[in-house]
Amino acid sequence: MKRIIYIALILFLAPGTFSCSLDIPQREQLNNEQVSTPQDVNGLALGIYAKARSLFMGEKMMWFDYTSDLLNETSNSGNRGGFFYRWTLSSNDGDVAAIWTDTYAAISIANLLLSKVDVIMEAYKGDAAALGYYKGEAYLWRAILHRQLALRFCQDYEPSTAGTVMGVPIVDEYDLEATPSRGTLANTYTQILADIEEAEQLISRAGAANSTRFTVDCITAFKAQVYLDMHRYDDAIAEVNSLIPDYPLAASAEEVANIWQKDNSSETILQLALTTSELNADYYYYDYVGGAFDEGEYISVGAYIPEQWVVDLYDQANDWRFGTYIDNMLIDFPAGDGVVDAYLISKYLGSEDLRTSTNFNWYSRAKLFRMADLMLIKAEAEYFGETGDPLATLNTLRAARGLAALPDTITDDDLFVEIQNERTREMLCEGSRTPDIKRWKISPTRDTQTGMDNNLAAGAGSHSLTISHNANRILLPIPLSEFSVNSNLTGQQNPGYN
Amino acid sequence: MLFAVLLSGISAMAQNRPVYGTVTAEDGSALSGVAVTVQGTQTGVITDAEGKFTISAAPNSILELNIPGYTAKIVSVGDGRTPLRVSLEASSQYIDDVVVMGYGTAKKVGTVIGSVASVKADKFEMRPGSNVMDAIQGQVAGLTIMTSSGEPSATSTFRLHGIGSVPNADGTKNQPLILLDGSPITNGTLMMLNPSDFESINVLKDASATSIYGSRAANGVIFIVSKRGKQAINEGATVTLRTQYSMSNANRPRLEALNADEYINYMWALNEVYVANQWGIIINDAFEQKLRNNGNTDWFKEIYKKNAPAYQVDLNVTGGGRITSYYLSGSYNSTEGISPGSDMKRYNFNTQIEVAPKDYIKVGMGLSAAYSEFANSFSVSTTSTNWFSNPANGAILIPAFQPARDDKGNIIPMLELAGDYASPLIMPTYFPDTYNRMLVNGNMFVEITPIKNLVIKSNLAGNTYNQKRVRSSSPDYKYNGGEGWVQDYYRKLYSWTWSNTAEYKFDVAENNHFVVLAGHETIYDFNDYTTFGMRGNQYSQFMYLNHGTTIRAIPTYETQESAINSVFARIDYNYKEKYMFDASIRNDASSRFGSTKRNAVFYSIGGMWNMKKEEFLASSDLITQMSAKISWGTSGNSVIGDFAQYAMLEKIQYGGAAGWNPSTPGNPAIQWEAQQKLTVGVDVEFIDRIRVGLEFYQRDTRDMLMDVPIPRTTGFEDRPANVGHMRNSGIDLNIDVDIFKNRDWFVNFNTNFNYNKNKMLALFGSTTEQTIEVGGDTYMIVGEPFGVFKMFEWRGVDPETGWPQWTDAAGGITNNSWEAELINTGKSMYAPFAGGANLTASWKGLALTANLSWMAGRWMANNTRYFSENAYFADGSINQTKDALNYWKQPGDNALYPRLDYQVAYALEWDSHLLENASFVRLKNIQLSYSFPRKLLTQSKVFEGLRVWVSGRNLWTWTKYKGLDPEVDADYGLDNYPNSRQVSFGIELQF
Repeated sequence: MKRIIYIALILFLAPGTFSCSLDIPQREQLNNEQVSTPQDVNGLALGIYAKARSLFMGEKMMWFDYTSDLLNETSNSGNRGGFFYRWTLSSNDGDVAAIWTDTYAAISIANLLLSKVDVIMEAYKGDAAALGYYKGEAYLWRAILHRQLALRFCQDYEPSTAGTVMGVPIVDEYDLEATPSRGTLANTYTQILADIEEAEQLISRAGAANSTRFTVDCITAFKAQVYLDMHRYDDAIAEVNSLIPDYPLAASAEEVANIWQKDNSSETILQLALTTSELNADYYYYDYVGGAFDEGEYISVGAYIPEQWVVDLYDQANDWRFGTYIDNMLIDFPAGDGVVDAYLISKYLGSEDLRTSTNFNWYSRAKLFRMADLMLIKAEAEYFGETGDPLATLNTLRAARGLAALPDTITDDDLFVEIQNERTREMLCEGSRTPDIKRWKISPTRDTQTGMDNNLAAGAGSHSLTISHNANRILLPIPLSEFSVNSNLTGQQNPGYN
Repeated sequence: MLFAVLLSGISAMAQNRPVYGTVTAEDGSALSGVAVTVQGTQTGVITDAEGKFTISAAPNSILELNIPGYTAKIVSVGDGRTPLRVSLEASSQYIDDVVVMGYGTAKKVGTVIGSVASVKADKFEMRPGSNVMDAIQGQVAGLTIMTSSGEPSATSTFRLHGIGSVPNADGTKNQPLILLDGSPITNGTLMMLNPSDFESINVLKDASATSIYGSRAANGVIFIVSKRGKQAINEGATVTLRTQYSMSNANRPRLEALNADEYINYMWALNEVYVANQWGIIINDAFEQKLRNNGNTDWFKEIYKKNAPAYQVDLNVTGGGRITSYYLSGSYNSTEGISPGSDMKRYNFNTQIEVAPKDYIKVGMGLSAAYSEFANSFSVSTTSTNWFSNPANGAILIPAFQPARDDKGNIIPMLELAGDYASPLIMPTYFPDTYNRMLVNGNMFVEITPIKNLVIKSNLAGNTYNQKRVRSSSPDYKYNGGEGWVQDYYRKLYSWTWSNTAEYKFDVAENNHFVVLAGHETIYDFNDYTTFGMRGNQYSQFMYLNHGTTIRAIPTYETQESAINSVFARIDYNYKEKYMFDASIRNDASSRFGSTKRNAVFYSIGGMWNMKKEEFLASSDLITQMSAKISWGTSGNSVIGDFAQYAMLEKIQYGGAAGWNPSTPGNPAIQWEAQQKLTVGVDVEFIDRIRVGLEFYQRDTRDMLMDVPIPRTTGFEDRPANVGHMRNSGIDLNIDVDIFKNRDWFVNFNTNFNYNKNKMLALFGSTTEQTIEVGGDTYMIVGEPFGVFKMFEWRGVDPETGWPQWTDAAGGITNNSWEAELINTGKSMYAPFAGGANLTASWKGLALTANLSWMAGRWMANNTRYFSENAYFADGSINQTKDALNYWKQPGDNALYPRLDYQVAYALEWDSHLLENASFVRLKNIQLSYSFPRKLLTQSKVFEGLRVWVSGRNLWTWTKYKGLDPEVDADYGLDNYPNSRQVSFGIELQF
């Protein structure tokens, strides 16, 4: 009997001492608290680039242009982006929330990096240079991302009113409890300039064409963009001038095509890296020019096509951009005329090295800084500013695109129109048009591509919308959910939204 | 003492003499019909009505006492001169008479304080369909079961006493704990098991029954008892062979799609509007001719299979001797779905063996293995698109002028007249989605009785599950450019539960019975998920990874891992089975919470008063049973991501280099969600025939674990936290009436009813209102039931102008959608009323049973109508329903829908006109069976039992909901895959 009790006790007690450890973090992920090496910091820096990609490529960039007067929504759209196009966004729209959240998520990686890097620098003194560079990247990204938010959610920066109009919430710390308010647009730009200054102290990597991480030239190019926003024209010109010798413009039909079809150009200062294993439907431009080959012929099912006035901007005979940026192609409208010829945004058929089949793939790397954009900044700054020759600058770009020089006799007003047209042609569907309309204070009215009436999306009024530069709806709404969790935003919704 | 008896048995064999004895149950009541045999002889008698027997036996010979429902007992005659008094213990192996409770040995009905409802095998073993939860819908008051998809492999969602907490993404947070013989299993594992292997399904409802399960029992417990062999004095076995065949068909929805003619006419009417407004045209004579060339296709008929077959065969052996008992079973199930590309095959093998070599030790082992392969029909999961390729949507929305097949009867792959989508009929060929699963469940226990009334048990259960899913996209699909892709998804799960308990029974004085239980338990759970894909497949018949030419994307790998360590104890006290009390306590520590937050103590107390045992009722013929009980206790919920406390970084790739991206914000402060439940109940039986059970409960849930919105400026949308307060209160009512019973006839009716009132009492911070999902229509609003719809309130069409009308901010009427106000409709997606009714009538071997289940007061938005009754979408690609024609045409019209120029220009809104009453009554099962008389069978000398039956599932449904199926547990009905009607035939043979 004793033996039985003995056995029973062993049976009962032995497993009783067997308990699982309860400290079980996720195996395949890194705990925030374990970020401790230079490699980890580099990983966070890469994380910002990777996260920011979805803001500069694909649908989030496309939505930015849908609000402008570049495009017509067709019956192929399935209402993708339709609320942007029709100016009927509500403040609880999921797409708007995605723009806001993804941008701040990228900012939060920058802030997380900045919160860790100083301690790690202490421990890894030999890696100070590399760690300093990552830190500089974080500052520059923070500046770039805050500006992107301002372009979408704020009124145009006008020096006289920037101190009174609303900016965007500035997030400069990794803090899950933070409840920032919008502050003024001047505050936003002050922060942008401060972050640029930090980055300048830290980034010394020399520039090269087609860079995929920040170089000193990226800071220069970004400053030119910011200074134009702020009407600091002479500063903008100076920044651009310093880059001109190093990034010659593409200057033949082939070179112009290569900017987009090979993602390789002497004029590209920075483009975001992308490999075929990193493709993601968030990044592609399917709704411009997606489609398939049918018996050897490419037939698009694009959902948004350029308006007629955009088509007419291109000199089809001479402009090397015609056929590359915009082209006459076959497109299928199953709910309309069927397969027809139409002008499409061919710029985004995709870079050849990113194709994954014989078909096009509609992925082009986002070009954050390229010389053509900077030349247009320079021309505009020269036009409004005190120094420089805007006509000469414009003609330099025109020559690089196959166009004849404009005559010296051109009037001041016509020159401004030409600068605008050139920017529209060059920066087609790169997210430039909506901020341009605001900055130029113009209010164009949409037209429709000729012969496409049967193929447009329903909601007829939207195809003749006037894109008024000071209309409420040219700005995106702050996501509604923010107001219930951040009392410091009370009363700071953009006008016209609830 | 027994030990001594066994030893002394060896020296038996002397002169026989009459031995007198009395057999009683534990409570002292006489047991009649007990078989008493003298071991090693043919001598046997049966006890009389007073439990008395007389048998001829030699001194010191051994008597075996045996009666179903009680543990067999062996006693020595001794010298044979003293009359024997033997008390038999109710057997836990006879579930009809006992109640399964947490850990420890089972208890007799009527002595259990906890609220436990039991569903016996007869409610699910002869049913078509492989889903046991679906089969018991409407059987248990307060347990709502919904099967949202007719996919043969679909699992059901089920909840006890309402939504107990803010749900998590996959709904598991509100799902009762499922235990298979005491070890936790998932809903997916349950779906893999053969319901025929279950003896009963027991629903543990109140704190007294569930608190011993602590953290995991906030939503109640579903305790499944496996069939086992029975120990018997005389070795014996029964072989059962059961086979059934059934056929399924689809139910037509109330929505009626337009035929080709009607739709073309409607397009002409729309065309007038387009022309008048210079918006182009949508139809002309040539186009009409093109449309008319293709006849009229009834897509519902094309898509849904007729008489989709299902077949199941079960073979099992149950038996046992004095030392060993066993249950072995094997089964095969093959079910074809009604929708294209949907089917399931399942193979199950199950062994349960128990060995009791000595009277102080028992060892048992159960091993079950299952393999299944199934394919799912294509489905969509968003509201924004209503893809024709989804068969259920296509059945209504593909225009009738689009043919399904060509002249030769071949499927037309692309719907060229309707948006050029792939036909739902070709989807299984173009986009197959197949699964196979392998499941092994094992458990082994050892039970030792070192001294009388002390039972020590150690049980180790392991559960593994491997699943491979393969999705592919054929190179033949028009938009694939001749190159397809394949994606494999692997899921592996293993979990183990090790429980050790000690239970001791003792009496103080004569009538104070105590049972004390203490135990320890560790549960570990690990899941991982791997996906891998290739593309460039050029042969549609070789959709395998090795036929791809390039990697499709970086493979993904994800783990889930958690552990819980617990200690627990319970004490039961019973005074003459008149007054009973119990109390339990459990400490759980979970890996999901930080080291300072992970421990929590849960406890319960309960009491019961069996009034029938009181003198004032003892002699009542009117009231034949009566008891009242009350229990109160706490339990917890830790259903949140396994790693929610941690701020983690996931790999993100940039230009071929590995970077880090914050994946979860983490919150080290999260802790157990706490629930308190009070239950008060009364059970009464009148004249031995009418049984009424009434229970009132109140469930309070505080510190609910949920992802609470935080400013998105942090880069995160939300963060886990403990917030809010929710209350569910309600009643469960059961009425069971034996309408008629005599030797040949038995007619019984029973019904159950649940009313559950859910109320949000607090949210978080100063927030009093929050959408359940961003952009959704259902809300949590303080003071309202969880899941209430808040939408633009549709006020009909203005008869004078034909413009739509909504309620505006001031409560008046507006014609402009942008002035419409979101109004709390007061209608919830969760039904406050639910119940069921069962009728059983039998005459000799013939039996008719009918089971009805119903839910009332639930609402659902109809997604299909947004597309099928909206001229905005009716430009030739999306078909419309007959109601769409009821649009405003001239002043004075009381139309359902606004004037066409409005509809075309603006589209109808997603507003309350789409909100439909999704209450339903469903004839879940009706069955007629015949058991051949034993006499006839014994003559055959082959069969011991023969039964045949015909049954129908979901044969009749009543609902106001207009879509395909109201039985969808969702806020809007996507019409993805409706439940089918099923008729089946079966035969059961016993040898």
